[in-house]
Amino acid sequence: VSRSGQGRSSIAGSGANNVKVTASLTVFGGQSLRAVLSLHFRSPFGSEFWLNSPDATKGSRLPPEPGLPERLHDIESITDVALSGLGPQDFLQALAERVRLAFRADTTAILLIDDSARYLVATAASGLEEEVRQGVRIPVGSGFAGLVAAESRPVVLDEVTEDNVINPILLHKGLKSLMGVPLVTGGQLLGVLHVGTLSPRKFTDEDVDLLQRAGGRAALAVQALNAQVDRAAAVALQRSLLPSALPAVKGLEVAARFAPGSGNIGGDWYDVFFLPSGQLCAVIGDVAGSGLKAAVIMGRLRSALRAYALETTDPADVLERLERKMRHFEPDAMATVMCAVFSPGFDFVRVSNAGHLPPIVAMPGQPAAPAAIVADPLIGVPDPYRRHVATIALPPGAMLCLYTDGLVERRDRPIDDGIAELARAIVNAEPEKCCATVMIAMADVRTECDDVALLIFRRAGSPDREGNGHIGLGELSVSRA
Amino acid sequence: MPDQDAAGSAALDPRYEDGALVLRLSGELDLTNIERIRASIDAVLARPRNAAAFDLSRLKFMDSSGIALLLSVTRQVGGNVELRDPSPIIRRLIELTGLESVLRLVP
Repeated sequence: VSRSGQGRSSIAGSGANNVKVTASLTVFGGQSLRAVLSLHFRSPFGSEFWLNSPDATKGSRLPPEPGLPERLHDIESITDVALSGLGPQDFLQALAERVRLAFRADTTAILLIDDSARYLVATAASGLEEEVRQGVRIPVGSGFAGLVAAESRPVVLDEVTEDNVINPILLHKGLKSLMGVPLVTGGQLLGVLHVGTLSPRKFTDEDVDLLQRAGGRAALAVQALNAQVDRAAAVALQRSLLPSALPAVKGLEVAARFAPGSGNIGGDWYDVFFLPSGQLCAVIGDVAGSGLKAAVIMGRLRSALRAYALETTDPADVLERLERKMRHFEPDAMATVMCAVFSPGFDFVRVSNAGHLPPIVAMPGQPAAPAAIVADPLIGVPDPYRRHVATIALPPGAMLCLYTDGLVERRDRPIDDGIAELARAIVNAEPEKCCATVMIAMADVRTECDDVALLIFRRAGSPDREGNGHIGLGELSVSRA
Repeated sequence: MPDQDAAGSAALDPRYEDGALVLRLSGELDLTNIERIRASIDAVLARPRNAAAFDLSRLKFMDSSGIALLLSVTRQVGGNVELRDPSPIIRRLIELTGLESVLRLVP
């Protein structure tokens, strides 16, 4: 702390139960030297709180305005904290308060751009909480915040009027001056941050610069937090949509594996369920795209497919209905889907394939190989398409493997090589064991790898050594009449 | 200059041949760069042009997100998009997703 001016000194340590404590002493210069002691407690579980000595609170005896570095530090301290533990809403709320204090302003609001990129939605505020409670939406291009967003530049209003502000809350509040900056990162607009005062104020270039710096840090934090939340939501959605337990089936053993991608979560899924007829239906699919959006589409596809499977036992019919629904309601979505319906005694399975990789079939006593079935276009092609059904014979002891491309796709080799490697990894064993063997053999250790879904079935019973073995891959690929 | 991402894994090099837009893709197109390439294509498609085609001769690899991109651009520009000179690996992927009849592979 300098003798004449102001300064800050901090010490940090760990207390009981590993609670981290940071004590900061901030000294303000001016007519009389005053100091504010601030204690910051942080538990190992991420919760935290601040305790300030009375002078730190607002009141009539506010210390003189701190300099730019100090004010920036106030804001940066919160963005650092945010990245290490707060959820998005708590972070934005804390940021709004910190920014309001740093500017000695009366209000702060943070509006984030919605999915349509056409509206700003009030997300956090300090001194203007009603904006958030009322769910204020400002069209990009209209009013004050809308102008900041549309032109992606700082806007200062020395005098708020009905001409330059459309949000009635700002007018009713009696705000006199406003300053807003866009929240931008990597060229992408995430929202708007603005501060306001109830008495007229001329915001300086230094104020604008400071708010822009605060906005830049906030945008990075918002983006990182959103990515975390999206990823967590996508993983949770994927998990909730996969069968929690595979149905117990007499005469057919079943096992499955699912490994979410390590980079972007994709939209892979599988499903195994009984139809009203008593027949078993198995589905595997892969929605194009990644993240929460793909996971949401996957959820809709899965639900729709289940609904259509109640109506028909013909897998091509199921996929045609599914495609009609997707074309109407999700015209931009694309997915590969394979739908397989087993015969009542599991002696054959009827498969319709919308652009998915071919199943692998292992006949007893023979090496496994991909079934040469027709791939119809994936779900999401522009025109209605008449889909095919292939019938694959399953003699006792035969195995059927459905999988998604993450299991076999590698950039350094053709996909057929990956499929062949998968076929070699399939051993005639109980499906649980076979799944484990396959996952070990095909494990992809890349940092950015795709989702992997794997379903393996084995028909019960010992192989008939006299003859059935060679029915094998002679699948009947037939058009649906 | 081609628009190349930081990892250098995929690039878009748009050019005009007799007024027709040719989108040359090179490198490895996957989940990690698809959104950036898609944005670059959208920016190019917004400009006036006669027709559009993809030049895939330098594309070494793509995953299912690449397939979705080709299909979606084809749909966006009205269906008539040539996919020129795909490597055997890319061609095989298009066959496996049942899109030979939907996408126009040349030759």
